[in-house]
Amino acid sequence: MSRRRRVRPIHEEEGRPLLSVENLKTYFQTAHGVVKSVDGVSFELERGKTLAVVGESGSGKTVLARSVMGLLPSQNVWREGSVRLGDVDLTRASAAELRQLWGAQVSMVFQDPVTSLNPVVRIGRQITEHLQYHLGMPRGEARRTALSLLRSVGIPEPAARMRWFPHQLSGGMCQRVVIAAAIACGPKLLLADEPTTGLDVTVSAQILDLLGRLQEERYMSVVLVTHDLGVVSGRADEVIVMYAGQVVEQAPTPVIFSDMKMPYTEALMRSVPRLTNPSHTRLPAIPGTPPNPAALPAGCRFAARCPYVQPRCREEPPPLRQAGPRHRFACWYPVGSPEGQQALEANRAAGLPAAAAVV
Amino acid sequence: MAGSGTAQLRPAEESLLRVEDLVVEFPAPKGQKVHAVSGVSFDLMAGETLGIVGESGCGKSTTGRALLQLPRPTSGRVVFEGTDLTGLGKEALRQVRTKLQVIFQDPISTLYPRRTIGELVTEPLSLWKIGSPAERTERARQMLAEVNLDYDAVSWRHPYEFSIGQCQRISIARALMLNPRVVVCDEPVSALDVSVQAQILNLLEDMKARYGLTLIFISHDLAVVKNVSDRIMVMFLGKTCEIASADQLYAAPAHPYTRALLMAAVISSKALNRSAAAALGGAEEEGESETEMPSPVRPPSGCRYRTRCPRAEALCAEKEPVMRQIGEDHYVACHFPIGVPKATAVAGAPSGATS
Repeated sequence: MSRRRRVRPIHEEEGRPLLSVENLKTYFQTAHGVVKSVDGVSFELERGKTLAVVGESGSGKTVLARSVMGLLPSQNVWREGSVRLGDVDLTRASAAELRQLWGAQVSMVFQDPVTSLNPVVRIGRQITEHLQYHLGMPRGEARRTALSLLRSVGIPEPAARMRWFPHQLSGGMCQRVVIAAAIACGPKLLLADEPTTGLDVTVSAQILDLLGRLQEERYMSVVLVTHDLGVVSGRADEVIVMYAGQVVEQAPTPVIFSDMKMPYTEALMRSVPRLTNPSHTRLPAIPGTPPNPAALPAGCRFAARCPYVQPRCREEPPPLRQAGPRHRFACWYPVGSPEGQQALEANRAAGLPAAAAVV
Repeated sequence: MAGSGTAQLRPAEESLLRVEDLVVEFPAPKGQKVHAVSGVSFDLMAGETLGIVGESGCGKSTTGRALLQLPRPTSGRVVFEGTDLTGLGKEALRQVRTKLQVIFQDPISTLYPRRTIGELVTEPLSLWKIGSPAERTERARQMLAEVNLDYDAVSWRHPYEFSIGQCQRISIARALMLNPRVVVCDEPVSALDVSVQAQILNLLEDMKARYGLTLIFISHDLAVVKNVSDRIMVMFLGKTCEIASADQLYAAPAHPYTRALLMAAVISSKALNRSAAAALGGAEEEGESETEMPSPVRPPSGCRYRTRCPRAEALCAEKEPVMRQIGEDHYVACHFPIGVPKATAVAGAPSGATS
């Protein structure tokens, strides 16, 4: 292995965010028509901050993360918009450039830790590989670095575990190894796609704490994709709520919990079972299912399931409006506004099932 | 924790299903054994929902399956409507299983991919040769309508054409076709999003009320279990830690493991459970030192939770705690339960000895 470094350097510009995504669109050509998985998403993320992307399955949150990373199938995909990481536009980077960015400047932690590790390669090798390739580290040094990485992600007896295979570890331990490999080369941006789905509560709390600690130590930016609003609180600086491929609300985390404007955000939060409610409390579920991504409605995409829906919503798609500093939402009849309250009461009087579920 | 004992059982004649000292062991290399379930006892009244919680590997799914005799338990009794299922022959067991149904975690792999939904839902009836084909279709139409699916629109389709939430609805309809008495729900919402999860939980509650079902609800999500259960059993490494009514368990967890689980659930969703966090306050300094499961092949001596327990003392390694009552419908297997004075805990002396 040569001592060559294979890292594409990134220059951050003063006063500009590390990551800025502008009007990103990712469409798939399928047998059923064009599926607009990500449809005009824009956001910015500063160095050292965490952005959570929340939504149901099929809302496009995973495609968004993969599209930012550039991990898309080579055919039947159409991507537009820009993804700027420092001074590099990831959408224009060549395959060779991406190889020097992936793992070195931007890494990803996937949902299923067991399948994201190579089952026939020892754990130590799966981490030293990155160090040797990107940083040109000699073997011994790479081994020592891997050892300290495994220790820092909380793996007991790391020296012995280096020789283990992934199947010998539990799901939580595998996710720690995946995280160690992802941060090995000191990336500036980490994309975590549902990193704790499928793990137990106790383990998942630890993995999230670990990510938070590593982020602080290494001053990384983190995009945390999740469907669990509980995970978001206290762990993200800002939240994006996605529905049917679009951002429907974006706000700093405390604001999204205390002063949400979009009825979808409200409905999502309501449908989480609470530990504080007595048993057999009826959950205010969101009726129906998300729209077919190949045949989206003309107006607001949430209209069919919304308790606040009015005729205007079905015809005119609401634009993203500013509700305060860093708080944007897309709704004609926002939660907590007089017109929203009026719309809800009218719907309740008319016996709309979605409105009846809201108490 | 990790206790045996049967103090939590109610009179046998009142219960619909009674599991006594259930043991399930699997062979491991070198003549060792995996102690998946070791002496679990619980019972179910008709119309009751029992929640079973614990981390992966604690034996909660194995318990659910073993009471259906899938596989047959190594030892112990499973008494359903007065019959011990462990002693039944193949045919008798087949007869009984119509009254015991199960809903699994992954609805897509539960449904045979090459059958249509119509075939899948009527299959229980055709297997038992119940009714004419027209009657079976009628029953399927009714049952699918109950789970908010339209028979004419779905009956000719295949499982892959449906979302995971819809597949779970179909599995529920199918499980209810034979009018079962007990339904074992093994992590039925773990693979679902919060919004779909709420729909399925509400549906299960409706079905329970309408058909007078008795449910066993297995999950690792404490908030979900609390939402549907009357009584909750907490398991750790094949043993029972604590059994209590749902509200009691969450208001005053007595077993250190129950509290560790609750703390983890509260911490992982702070903003949603602020008042719950306040109620458990002061528990932080007693956090678990590690959260790996001990090996089920060589479980720790005494209490199986002691290696992770912040309250563990020498006694815990020597003697296995036995289930005992600490409140109305509140049972715990721990030498030093939370909220019980220590002197009482060790000596088992009547309360009032210390104060």
